Amino acid sequence: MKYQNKLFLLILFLSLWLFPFFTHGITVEITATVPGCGDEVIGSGEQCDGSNLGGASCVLQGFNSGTLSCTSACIFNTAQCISDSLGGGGGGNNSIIPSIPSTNVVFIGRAYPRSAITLLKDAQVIATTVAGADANFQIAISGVSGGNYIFSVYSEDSKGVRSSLLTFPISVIAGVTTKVSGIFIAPTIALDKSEVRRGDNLVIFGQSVPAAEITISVSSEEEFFVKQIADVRGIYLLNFDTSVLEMGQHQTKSKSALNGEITAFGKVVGFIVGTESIVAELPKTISKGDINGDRRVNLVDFSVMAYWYKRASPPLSADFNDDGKVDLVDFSILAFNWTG
Amino acid sequence: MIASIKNIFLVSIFFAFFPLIASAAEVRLETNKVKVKTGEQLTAKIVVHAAEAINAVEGQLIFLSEMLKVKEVRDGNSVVNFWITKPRLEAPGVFFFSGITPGGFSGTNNLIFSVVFEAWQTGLASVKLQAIRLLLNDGTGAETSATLNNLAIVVEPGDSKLREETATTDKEAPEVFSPVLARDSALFAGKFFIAFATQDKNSGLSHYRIKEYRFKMFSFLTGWKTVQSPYMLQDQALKSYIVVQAVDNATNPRTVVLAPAYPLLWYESVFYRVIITIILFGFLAVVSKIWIKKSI
Repeated sequence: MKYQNKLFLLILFLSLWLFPFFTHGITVEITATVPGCGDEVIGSGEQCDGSNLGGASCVLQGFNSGTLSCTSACIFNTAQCISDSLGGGGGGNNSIIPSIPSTNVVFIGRAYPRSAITLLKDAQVIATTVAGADANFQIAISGVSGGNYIFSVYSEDSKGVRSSLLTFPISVIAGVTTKVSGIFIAPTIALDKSEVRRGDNLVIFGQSVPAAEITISVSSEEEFFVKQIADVRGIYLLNFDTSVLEMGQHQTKSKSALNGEITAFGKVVGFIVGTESIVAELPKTISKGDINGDRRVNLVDFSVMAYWYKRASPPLSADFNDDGKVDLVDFSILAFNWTG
Repeated sequence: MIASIKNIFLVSIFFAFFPLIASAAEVRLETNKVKVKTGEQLTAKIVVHAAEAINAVEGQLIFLSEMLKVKEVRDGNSVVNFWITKPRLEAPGVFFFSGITPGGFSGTNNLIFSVVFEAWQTGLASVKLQAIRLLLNDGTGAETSATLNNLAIVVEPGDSKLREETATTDKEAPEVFSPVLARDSALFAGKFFIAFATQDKNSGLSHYRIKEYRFKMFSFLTGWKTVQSPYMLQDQALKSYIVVQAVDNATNPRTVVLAPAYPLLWYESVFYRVIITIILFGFLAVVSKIWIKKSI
């Protein structure tokens, strides 16, 4: 074979083999927008997308086996994951928990009928499940180490309104199943008006456990407490006559009680008593903390803030209190609105 | 006489409870030893007692660096979920730290972190808290007042016998974690990055390392790179596997793999590249043989 032929073959061989390394070395700009949830691409703030789990599995999530799937909100659904003898998340029934030698934590509580429950371990989503029609839920996680954890749980009602984050520190002992029962998520709350003409009715509504006694607080110079009973779907609604309130800014919140168990007050919602009535939108969006606009406040938002911490000219999206800097106060606001 | 005793009693009661009335929280420095010999180690823990939920904390730990030497920082069982600034020496004898706990923590004995010191010089070694800020989990970042309780360690002449603090036995890897792929205009000029965080409940987390590769079979050719979160990806085409490893202070690793968001197309894979090369080689061999024959 002639020299030219050999050279040609060598160049062809090298170009075929080195092609991917060249592309790797060159920065390839993608001009497309960030893929959204439901397009099979794991994008900003998504743990998974459709069938694309990003290499994750039940085992990597701390379970022994089972099938990991992805929810419509693009977060892991561990309902079909199995930990030795313990079922994954499931709602509605209070089954007897067998004792297991591995380290497990079982969470049993109440949220809202058929609502999505998200469990966070040290502020990161570890499991999700759906509550039963009676609002009861149970989530089991395994594969945790012995030590002190901060677990948090929140739920989303039938209208997509999120509850406040219920946080509880747990000391997990290695080789022992820790059962955390009596979790009672505070009711959701929303208003029909952001501003109400004094004397008009303000509708305060939300969701809790069916037949629960809801205590609604409306704060003014004097604090008003009104009790309501939630219906079979856990929904409560109060027509509050604002003639008893002074003109100006007010707040309302609610808590729930059933069979001797009681929640703390949930989220606080503000409204104005003024001269006109303005219709309010459902509080589905997160007012502060969601820097990248993915309806979640999580590690991505924390990362952006951590980058701008104490740096000059931070973006407005990361400066929640508009003081021209990203400091501990902004991080505190982020932590308050955290969803994982 | 009885009246004056009564007054003294009331004043004493007032001053005894004054710190509790004035502060909603207490930050304490706790130690297992208040008297040590030179060469002996001791552990100082920062713990918070709080009536209301606290979600952000920052401050400084000040000590006499000529008397105490830092041997180790332990944050394994900390209530802080995310460190903004991991406890670090920003000047001789000055630790700075700041972090958050989403949802907040309250109650007694909430560990922030602990430091293992070794006593160097005889005398009274003070360890103090300074510029402590505790912010409430109230949505506004309101600061709550805190009572500070410092430490004074008596260091006596030693007998040259080293007394070490018990080392944490840790055979467990850090907690399982899920790195998040994201991009945001406010970070890395809008380029893709991954964010990750985990904890190690025993010895504490040491560092993270990462590698990106396109071909699984050649992954051994790519070396580990020690990184911090957030990390801007090298492969902005998102065609690479991303392996993130969290390593604890006892060198136990926890490895997670992110599959490529845009996997290589069939003709880009190694298998098909081999097949295509063989076919092309065969074709070229035949062509060149014919060509050589013709030229002869």
